[in-house]
Amino acid sequence: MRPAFFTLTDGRFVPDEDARSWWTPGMLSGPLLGGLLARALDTAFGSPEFQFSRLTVDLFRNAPFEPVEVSTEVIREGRRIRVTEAKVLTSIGVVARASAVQLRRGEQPPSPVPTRTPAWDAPDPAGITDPYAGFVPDGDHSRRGMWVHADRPLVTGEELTPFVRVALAADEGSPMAHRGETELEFINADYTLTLSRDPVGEYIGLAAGGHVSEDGVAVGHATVHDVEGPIGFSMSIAVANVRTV
Amino acid sequence: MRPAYFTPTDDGFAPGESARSWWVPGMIHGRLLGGLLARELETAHGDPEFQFSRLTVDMFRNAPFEPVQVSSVVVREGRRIRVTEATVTTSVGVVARASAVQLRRGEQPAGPVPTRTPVWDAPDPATLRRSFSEFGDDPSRRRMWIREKSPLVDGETLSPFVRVALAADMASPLAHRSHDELEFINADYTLVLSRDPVGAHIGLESGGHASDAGVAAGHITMHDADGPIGFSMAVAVANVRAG
Repeated sequence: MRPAFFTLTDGRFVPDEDARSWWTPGMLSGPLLGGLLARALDTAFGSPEFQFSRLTVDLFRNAPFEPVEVSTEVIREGRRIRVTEAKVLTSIGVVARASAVQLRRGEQPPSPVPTRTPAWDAPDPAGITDPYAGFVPDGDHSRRGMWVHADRPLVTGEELTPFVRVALAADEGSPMAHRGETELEFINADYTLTLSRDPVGEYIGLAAGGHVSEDGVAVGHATVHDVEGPIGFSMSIAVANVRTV
Repeated sequence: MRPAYFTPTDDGFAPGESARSWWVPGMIHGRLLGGLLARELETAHGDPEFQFSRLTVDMFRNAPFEPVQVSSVVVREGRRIRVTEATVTTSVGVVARASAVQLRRGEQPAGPVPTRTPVWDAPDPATLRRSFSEFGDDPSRRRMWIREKSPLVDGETLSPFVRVALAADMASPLAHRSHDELEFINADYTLVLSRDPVGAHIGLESGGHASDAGVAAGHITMHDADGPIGFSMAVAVANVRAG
């Protein structure tokens, strides 16, 4: 197991070298901030009676490569719904935030809902060691998919919970939906994950769903799977961007 | 022209009869609260250089059938991004809120992105007379044209953004309905847009649904007469209609 992305010291999350942004090496990785937000919400408000059914992560400012703080609050506490929020704070202010909707688990209605989640032409993930194992069925990039398998903890000394695991993987919905055949030319400003249940096992699958873009503004989505089937969707918006390395 | 859903008054937006909830007649329809939130965000923070690329509407409490107040704040103002938030307040407190992300329009990157938005073999909306026209015979890909005929607020014309925000709530019934019953009520919807719609008709096509233990997630593709413009996603919980 590799070292964790962050170590919690005196209430602040200190980044490891590997927590640098893919887009801009002087910054913190956006998806990891989403992971920290999901972790804070899960730790503070997770409950077996409630399903985290939506997580919206706003990544609206470059986060300097330094220790960060995460705070949470309750927006609405109802009988069947809990709405919460979390923020990532750095020396320059708030750089990211998340809102979450938890819905009370209960009886599944008796009538089946007709649906057509796209065929999941994925290889068996057992034995895959690459943490981001992409595949392109029949060479068709419009159907590309990926198995995500976290190869390290988010925070030193902690196991990934199923919710944090899928929240970390959900940001990959952006490159799935917005990448050209070879280049990723859109950087996402957010991602929104919806879940009907938590994933089982350590492999999270993503299948490209759809992409539309105009004037450098892109929107897209991916279907989220675990080894047993589809469990939700991940949607993201993105703006035209060039990687600085 | 039909009567507007709301009339501006000194106490806020007063609902008309057509603004009643489909689920609970003593309440205001959630979709219309989403419309009021979108209208407030656009009025206060809209800008021709920025595209409203995401709108997330949380409907977390039943809204009593009475005038409502709507307000908004800026969360982040950047060079390429603006993040804003709006809330609907009633006598019982805040009943709904929305967050929006605006992205600056610019150059489209040169490389095409391979995608597979479903074929939109829809009838010409000009031939349709109803506000909500569902078509096709495959319930796993329900399709619909919506043409909103009532103003949201008396004396105002619907903007393209408010028009598509009002339609986006239909993600829930399109994605979550069984063959004949809608047994899930949505707690939210999230609309993403690459551009604003043109024309009065918004096209919707169900994309996918997953549900377990009475919790559902689903999405649809949004169209206008020129093609796909975005997606809408909704989470929902098992529910029985009252009345």
